[in-house]
Amino acid sequence: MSVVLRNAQRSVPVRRAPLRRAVCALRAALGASRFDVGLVCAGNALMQRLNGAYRQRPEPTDVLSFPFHQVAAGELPRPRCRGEYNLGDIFLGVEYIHQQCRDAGEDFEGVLVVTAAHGLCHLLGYRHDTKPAWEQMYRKEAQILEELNRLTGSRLRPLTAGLF
Amino acid sequence: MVGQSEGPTLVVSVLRERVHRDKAFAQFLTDEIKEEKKIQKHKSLPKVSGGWELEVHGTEARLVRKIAGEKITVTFNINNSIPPSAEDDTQEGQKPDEQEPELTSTPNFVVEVIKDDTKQTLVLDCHYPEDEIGHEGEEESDIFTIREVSFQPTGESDWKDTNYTLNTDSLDWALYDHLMDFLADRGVDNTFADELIELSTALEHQEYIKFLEDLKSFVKCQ
Repeated sequence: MSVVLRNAQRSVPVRRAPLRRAVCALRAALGASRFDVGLVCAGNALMQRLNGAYRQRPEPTDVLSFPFHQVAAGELPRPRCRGEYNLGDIFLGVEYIHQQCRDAGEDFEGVLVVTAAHGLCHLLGYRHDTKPAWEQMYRKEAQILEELNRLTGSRLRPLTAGLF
Repeated sequence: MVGQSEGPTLVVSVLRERVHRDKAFAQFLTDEIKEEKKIQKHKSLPKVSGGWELEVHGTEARLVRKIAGEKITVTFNINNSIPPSAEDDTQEGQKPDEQEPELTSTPNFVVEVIKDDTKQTLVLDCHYPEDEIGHEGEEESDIFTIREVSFQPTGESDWKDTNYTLNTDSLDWALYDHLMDFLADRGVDNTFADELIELSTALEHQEYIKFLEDLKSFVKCQ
């Protein structure tokens, strides 16, 4: 099934093909290849608007996930029809991430992929608002990134390392 | 006979009416030109960053860039480049003292990539999505899309419609992303697309004012 990728921002150059490849591999590692997922590369203005509208935090951020299904962490959705083969949408705050990477001296494209992995896990019910939930999410992120690393030779680590 | 004595008087009367209306029209155009020049955002055409050279022939503009064995040209025409919804917004339900919203020109543009060592030009027909540009806030779709791709013989002005044309409507999305990255690597990315809108809008306004001036001269001419 499809990864629908859109680049809706002008601030940061984004290479679509490698990002798509990575997201497809991560989705496969989650066992969710038969589900569509939407991925929007967004600038600070859009992220701020969405963050304010949906989380009452009107400020730019790195990632926002909008799941199509409500599932418990670790479960795959059970679609009842063709139209429900959809994990939901991930908005990647690429402008925000790019600035963070510049400040921290990190590889932008690597962090973009790690952030996408984080967003995908959120679409599948993983959370990090408590320590146990974070541990579960961290393990899953590490697992799927390890799978991606095995395929691509990269050395990516989860986004939420050290959150608790 | 009835009408015979009225003939020349009627003609003169009609002519006088026409001259009167033409004068009013010319005066209207004078005022319109003055207003348009007042709101003109760019007195000269804005530059597009990235080393693009601009050539303008009437309503057609061409941006040219040379990089490492390749020549990239981007061609667009400002005729019919303002989406109908943008034009409608300025006419309906507008209070007299409200400032008219800016009209934005979003022309289709054609990217041609010529490599020095081939006889074929890769031609990509690109469009701006409708109803997405010019609205407040950032939208959630691509800034521009590739609609069609084909090869054409380099240096020939006639379009060869027996050459295969790839339509991206049902194209594999991974391939589509590669094409977008291909363009981005040659300077045709979202920033470029944005700057092209600025350039096209400025050119369109410039040509509109010139048209009004020509119209005014024509109307006044007897």
